[in-house]
Amino acid sequence: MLFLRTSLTRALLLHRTASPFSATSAPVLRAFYQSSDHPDRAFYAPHESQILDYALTNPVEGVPVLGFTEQPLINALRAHGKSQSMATSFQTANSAPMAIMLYHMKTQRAKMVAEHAKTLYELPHVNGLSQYDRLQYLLIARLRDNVAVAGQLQGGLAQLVQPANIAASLSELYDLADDLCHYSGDKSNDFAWYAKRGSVAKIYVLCELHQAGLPAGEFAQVEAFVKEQVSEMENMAYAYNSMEEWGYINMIGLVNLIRSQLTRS
Amino acid sequence: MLSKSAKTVVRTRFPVRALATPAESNTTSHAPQLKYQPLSKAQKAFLERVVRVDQAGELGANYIYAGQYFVLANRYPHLKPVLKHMWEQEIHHHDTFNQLQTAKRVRPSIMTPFWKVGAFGIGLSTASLSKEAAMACTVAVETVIGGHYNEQLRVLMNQFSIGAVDAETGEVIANPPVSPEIASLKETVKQFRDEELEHLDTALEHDAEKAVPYMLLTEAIKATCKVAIWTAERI
Ligand SMILES: [Fe+2]
Ligand SMILES: [Fe+2]
Repeated sequence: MLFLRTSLTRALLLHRTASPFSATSAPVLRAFYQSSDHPDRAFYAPHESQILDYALTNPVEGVPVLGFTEQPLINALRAHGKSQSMATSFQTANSAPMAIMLYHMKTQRAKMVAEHAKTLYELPHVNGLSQYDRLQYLLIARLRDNVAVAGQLQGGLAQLVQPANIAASLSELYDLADDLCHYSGDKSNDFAWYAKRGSVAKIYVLCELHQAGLPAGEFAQVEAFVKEQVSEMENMAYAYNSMEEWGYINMIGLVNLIRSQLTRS
Repeated sequence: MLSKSAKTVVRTRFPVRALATPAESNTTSHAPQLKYQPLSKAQKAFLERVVRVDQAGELGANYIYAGQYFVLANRYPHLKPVLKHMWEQEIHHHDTFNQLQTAKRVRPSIMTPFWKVGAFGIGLSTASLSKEAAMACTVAVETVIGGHYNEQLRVLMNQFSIGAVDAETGEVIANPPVSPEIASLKETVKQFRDEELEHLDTALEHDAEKAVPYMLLTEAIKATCKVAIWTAERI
């Protein structure tokens, strides 16, 4: 039991999450190289995915009814015959709710890449699409998959900006922005690389906050908001040297953005 | 002519192969499809640094030659094709690492704007001094870059024997060949190193050593390059 507890805890909580104090530098400065011949191992082991998936999606005792709290994970552990006492270990550096939220973000990002990004270039109308069109398409695809937890999204976002969770959240947001840029066809080799990821991360967070403030089932409004944001980015012919955007990739700006929006609503 | 007939021969062999029994075709088929182990953290970090620093270095080289060409091309017509040839190779080096940087999802050096300005400035100022000074600059830069590529090659040779299994059977392969990805990077680095050393020779042939003051110039530029490399590997 002890073994399971430690390995699960490590896997769910400590993976790639550096000390929370390194929040400002970790997301941008960690090693980043994506190999084609030496693919990385899956982030979650199968049994970890099972438990977290149950916690996130179970319509009776999971996040859809209980929100991003500790209880869905306790229920999931019980349903899988694991000791409930394990949940206490989630109250360390990262919490049980954060573990579920991170699972949601990572799996939805993987799904966006597998189901939308990689097939995007095979669509019949793709030749006429600009980088911004593709970005919009991917953003909408990714946000549409929030619908499953739509009613609980605010609680999930609140988890992201807890001080102990910031390093992990920013790291994940950074990966998402990088995927969105890469698969929408960004080929920038200079400072624009940073500025684009900064603006895309900001747009994503703005859209998700907008979505969190709407009743579930209002996805048409989210889509309209995404289009507005992306075309604004395009129309302004974005000043890629803007220090503000650089601030967003350094990402502390994102944390403040989420905090201010959550307290307002 | 010869290669054309060789191609036809190869082509006519395919139908024969297709008629072979499964057991026979097994013995004639080449090595199994390999599935390689993931890279270690240290290997990833190394490759990330390689792509970033080489991209920045080639960007610098590209801009140094641009600066030199700007000053010297019209003043010394006989140097024009020499500089142009080297410059074009630098552009190819730079493009290659640009492609690697986007394909491998590596963060470019955040100092990029400074590398551009700095490198163009070095090219411009040494060339304004004299054509020999420009060549001395090339000697200094290529000495450091050639050595740097050699160091990278050594690590790529020694630290990248990575395990693999047969993609179909899962059987562990003893001493698998290095993956195509690493092999191709090694090839690229080797080819570029050779071309940088050619540039070094070219510069020496064009009186680099007659530059005044040669030692001061080359040592100062070498030191600058080393600081730039150290920085670009990191930020
Ligand atoms: Fe070069
Ligand atoms: Fe060179």
